[in-house]
Amino acid sequence: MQRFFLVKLVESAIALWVITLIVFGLTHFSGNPVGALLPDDASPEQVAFLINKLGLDQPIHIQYLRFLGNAVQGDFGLSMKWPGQSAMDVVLSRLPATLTLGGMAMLISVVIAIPLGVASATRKGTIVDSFAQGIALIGQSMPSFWLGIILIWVFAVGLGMFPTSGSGTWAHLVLPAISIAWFQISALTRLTRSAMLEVLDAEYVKLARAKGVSEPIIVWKHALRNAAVVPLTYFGVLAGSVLTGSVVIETVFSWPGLGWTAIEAIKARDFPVVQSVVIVFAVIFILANLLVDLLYAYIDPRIR
Amino acid sequence: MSMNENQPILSVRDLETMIETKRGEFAAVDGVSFDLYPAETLGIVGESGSGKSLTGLSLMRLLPRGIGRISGGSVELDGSDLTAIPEARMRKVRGRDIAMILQDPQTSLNPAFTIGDQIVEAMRLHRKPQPEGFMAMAVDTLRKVRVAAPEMRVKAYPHQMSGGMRQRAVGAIAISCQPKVIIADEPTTSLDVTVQAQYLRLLRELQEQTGMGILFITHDFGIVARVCHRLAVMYAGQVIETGPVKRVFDRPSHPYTQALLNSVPKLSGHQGRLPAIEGQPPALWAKPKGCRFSPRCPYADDRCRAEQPPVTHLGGEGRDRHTASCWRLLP
Repeated sequence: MQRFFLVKLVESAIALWVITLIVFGLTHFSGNPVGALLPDDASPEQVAFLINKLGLDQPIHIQYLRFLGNAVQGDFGLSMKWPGQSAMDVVLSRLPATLTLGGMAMLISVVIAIPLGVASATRKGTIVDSFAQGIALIGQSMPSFWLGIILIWVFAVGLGMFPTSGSGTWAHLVLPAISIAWFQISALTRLTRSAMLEVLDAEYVKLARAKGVSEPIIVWKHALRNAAVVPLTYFGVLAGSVLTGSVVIETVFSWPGLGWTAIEAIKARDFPVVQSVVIVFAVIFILANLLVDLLYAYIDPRIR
Repeated sequence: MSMNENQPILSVRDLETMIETKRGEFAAVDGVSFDLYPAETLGIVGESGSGKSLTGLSLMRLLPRGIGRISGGSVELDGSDLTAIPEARMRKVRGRDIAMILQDPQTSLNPAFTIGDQIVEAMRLHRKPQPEGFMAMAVDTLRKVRVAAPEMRVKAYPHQMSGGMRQRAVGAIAISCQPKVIIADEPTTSLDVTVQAQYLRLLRELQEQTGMGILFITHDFGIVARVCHRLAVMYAGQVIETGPVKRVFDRPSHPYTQALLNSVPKLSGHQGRLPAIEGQPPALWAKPKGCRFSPRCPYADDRCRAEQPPVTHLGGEGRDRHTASCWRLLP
């Protein structure tokens, strides 16, 4: 178990390192940042001074090592759009908002999708199954930004039940969280359903019945424990898509999180902030997958 | 417990089980009757599709839901008809009175739980704990099925054990609540020959200790000869011959039993090419009107093809009773 954990930890570290390479590479191939930093009429002396100050006259590997050294300390330079703050501070101050929204969306999807998937598998071919399949079909057919706008139109503008945008209260959280969650519910429900159907046919489920175990315990303990690996795998992907999805949804709902910050920073060519956002997204993504791997080992003793 | 030696513990009468197929509903178990006596092993022998496994599942009332259902007959255990009691009571019977050993040890243990947990689960449902606790009882049960170092094995997961060891663990689950009847559905088909022999010997020893009846479902006459006291030969959902193993082997009376025994290779003497039975067993939806075996039977006449033969009593009573269903046995 410790060995398994160690291996996964090393893998995560390697993944993170590769990401720093990509981030560094992308910012370098996207052109000379001096042009963006200085006004058009800057004198050659000013340009030379800045190049020297930023270390752009150094060989590329020295530049990368400096970047890496700073990155390890969380230093990506100063923000340009939000003067006076370091890029990482800007990003970290927006992080809780995104984690709240993403966490709520994932919570909603798991709490709804797992029971729905299990119910539709155990009642295959009944009205419950058709209902669950319907929910899944609708969710997968709607782009989340469109769903977001429709939800605003119906529940905020029409019924006045929730605020249209912004943040601050739990009520602000409801519509954006549902917009993100519905799509996830679709995939999770269907995955849970198919995994459960397969497991419910297994010999060990038959043997559990032959032991006199009651049906609810067979379904929720014997079967789900084995079926859970499939939706769990998806959970790692889910964490990623919640983050990328947040870029769109946070813009639709003016939710002041990382996604919204990323869009603003890109519009303002605020490279340090964009870099920081990408790195933070990557770290969250890697942590989520590390968590999934650990849960794997907990659920399935064969992986340990 | 009234354990009269000559009183059957399990009496199956005219059991009929319908199976839903794309072509409609058909009787896959078609009027099966047999008795199982204490400390006896009854072999249910037949080809795949003969209804032998479905008979086993019917006794447990574990037919696939929405596909199979018991449509007639009775299964009497301890004076109550298992086909008539409510599901909640049936659940108490499963594991406690009738236990089951499934075919494939590779897949019949849950990979997510330890062996100990899986044995304890059954005991928790049906037994009172001894002062030393369920886990100690599980260790004891594993010791009974000759698992080495049972104190360690209770903590092991199925994937950490060999196939033979796993099948012993399945056996341990089956005997954990001291059932009166064990239904063993081809329990040794996936084991290699030496492990198979050990396992069969183990079953026999456990039976001698506990006096349980074993219903041994198999297609292998060699195993029947080795472990069974009596046998019931099934063909197309019906028992066509039943009797003590020795007697049936010496004097097989139904043409199907004769043909089956002829197609088993013998160790002694010269046999030449093994005879095969012409044709295929009938599909569920295409059973012949008269004797089910008549299209493949070399002796069949018009009466065989028109009417089902009655059960003919060929001698013996109780455990020694030998019967077969063939028109030619009638005077």
